[in-house]
Amino acid sequence: MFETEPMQKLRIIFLAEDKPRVIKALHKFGYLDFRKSKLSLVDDSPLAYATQLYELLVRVEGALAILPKPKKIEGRFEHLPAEKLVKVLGKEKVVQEIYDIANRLSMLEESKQELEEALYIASGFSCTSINLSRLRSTKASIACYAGEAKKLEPLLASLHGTRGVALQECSNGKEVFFAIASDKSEEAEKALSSLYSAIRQGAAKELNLDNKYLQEDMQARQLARKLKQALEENEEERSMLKAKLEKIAKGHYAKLAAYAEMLHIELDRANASSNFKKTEKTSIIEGWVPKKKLDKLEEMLKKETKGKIAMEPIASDELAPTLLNRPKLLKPFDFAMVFFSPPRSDEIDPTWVFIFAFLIFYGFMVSDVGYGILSLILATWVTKVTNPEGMTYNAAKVWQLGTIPAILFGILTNQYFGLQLDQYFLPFRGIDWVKNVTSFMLASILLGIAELIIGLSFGFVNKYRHGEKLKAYSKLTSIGAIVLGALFTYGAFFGGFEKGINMLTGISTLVLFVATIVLGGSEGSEAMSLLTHTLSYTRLMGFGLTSVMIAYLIDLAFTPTLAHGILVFVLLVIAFLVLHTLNMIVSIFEGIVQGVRLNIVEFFTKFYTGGGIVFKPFAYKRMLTKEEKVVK
Amino acid sequence: MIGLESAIAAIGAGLAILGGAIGTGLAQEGIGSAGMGLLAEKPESTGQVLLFLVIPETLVIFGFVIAILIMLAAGLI
Repeated sequence: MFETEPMQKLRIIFLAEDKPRVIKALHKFGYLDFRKSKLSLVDDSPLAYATQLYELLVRVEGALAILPKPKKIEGRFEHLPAEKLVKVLGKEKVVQEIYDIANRLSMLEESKQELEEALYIASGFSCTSINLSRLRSTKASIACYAGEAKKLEPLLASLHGTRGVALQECSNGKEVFFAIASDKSEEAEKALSSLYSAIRQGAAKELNLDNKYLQEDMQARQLARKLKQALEENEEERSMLKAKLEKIAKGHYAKLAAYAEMLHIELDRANASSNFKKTEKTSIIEGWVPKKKLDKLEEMLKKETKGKIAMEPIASDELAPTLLNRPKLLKPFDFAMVFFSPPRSDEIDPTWVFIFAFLIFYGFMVSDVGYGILSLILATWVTKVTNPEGMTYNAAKVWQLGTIPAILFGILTNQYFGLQLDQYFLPFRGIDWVKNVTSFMLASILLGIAELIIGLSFGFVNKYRHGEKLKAYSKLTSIGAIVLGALFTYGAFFGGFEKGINMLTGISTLVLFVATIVLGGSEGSEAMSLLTHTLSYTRLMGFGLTSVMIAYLIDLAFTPTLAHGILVFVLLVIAFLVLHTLNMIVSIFEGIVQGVRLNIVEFFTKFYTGGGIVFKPFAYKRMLTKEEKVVK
Repeated sequence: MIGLESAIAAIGAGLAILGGAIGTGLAQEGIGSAGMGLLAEKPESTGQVLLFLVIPETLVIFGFVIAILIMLAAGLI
């Protein structure tokens, strides 16, 4: 329960001719994490067709990325061995067709942008008689601009009739388009200076019409019409191509995704031998296997190689990989542990304690039936719309489980969106948060003491195992200091015991505290944190009470009533819902963050090293393909 | 009518929370800005940053506990 899966490092030796069969069997077995052997032998290399498979995989995955992804990808396709896969994909025309469509679409997209820009300019000048093709051939310097009409129109008006300046302009009220030709005379340049200055300050942008649109001798209006037509044709062709891609996706997406899956599997197999060593006639593999799978592995390999295989355990100083293997429902907690820092294989795995403590802490802090039910609905929805491999999904799963204790604590404390109900289905009215603050504080401290004692016990085991006996004993003295310190506090400050007992517990606490410092050596400072870490658990009461009080105040001030008319009623309903939603969000957020924090900061620091190497077996997962048939 | 002792106790409770809140705020200011800097570079560190950010909240919790103890002793709750 508190140990990671026991692992064994193995060396497997077999005939080189059996290599493909052994690789395939190990891949299917899925419980061997390869390690490169340190034997002074020749390194093996990937199988010859690995590069070809890699190229095909890139090509197929590229085609899949182009296709619109269907909502559901269904189907079970026969697995094709590498050789056949290469042949089939060589003949598969749909991949090339997808790339051709994508290339054409990309060209059309580029041309659409050019057309839109040209249309913008041509439409801008369509109220003038300007022939844009003249812009190419004229010797005078002609430039086209567009800018804010309000700013530029007075400047343009002042240029009319100026010698050496030709001006064509067209305004739609908001924007003004203008073309200016100047003979560069002193008079013309002087007249244009204020306009150019405004342009430099960003009042207008220069327009550059691509040369290909200036070929034909036509007015701007005619050019605009032509460009519009070209744009419509462009749009039509793009829509047609997109529809074609949709059609291809509908008929071929699942098949291509299955090919990609097969290629991944075959490529992994082709690359696997780069982890091997070889002699002229044999191959050698090393790696870690869960101890409980050893017999199955031996049996399977003997069957594949007709007994021509040698398997021997290797004694190794190397840290074994960590395999966390909890039931499916609790897998998200394994994900959280790996995300934080996986436990080392040579230390106690605290995940079970983390699971129970987190759920209790979360329930304690949220403790509201209404918030619990609402967050159960929300969490379930999040798990339906997110990727099961992702962090959001796993966080939502943890949240989903947390809603159960939140509801149970809510019933226990009689909280329904901050309201207290009669709870006719229970023999009691519930424990009132406000009237029982001291009890809740005591409960949270006791929960803290319990978790810290578990943490220190784990610390004792870890240190003892690693031969650090004095540090291990300091964990025991810490436990004693916490227990006796709690008894002393109860006796001295709350009158729980007689004076003599208080004296005894007080002195014993002091002695154990000093012993912890002395025995702990470099870690002796941990003694200082015993009190603060215990008190830190009072946040359970703190956040729980805060959430309840806020909900109570919202109910007090914003419970909808018809006494002041319908408008006030509607406003009260809105305020009531919004404020309860906000309180629920804060309460859930704090419940998760503080629940995790208490475990990681207060609990884990008593024993946890972390930094384990996650077990990554040579395995595959099939979603769209069938297991290969056994060829006898 | 509330007595002088109770009034002073209530002010004391308020000050206990105030001190804790100011301490937490000052600590979170530094952690928050450094955390945001880290997240700009490594968005995948959100979990760790969030955890570091809540560590100083212990101070305000201690203030809260002291406040409750004062109010209990003064018979205010």
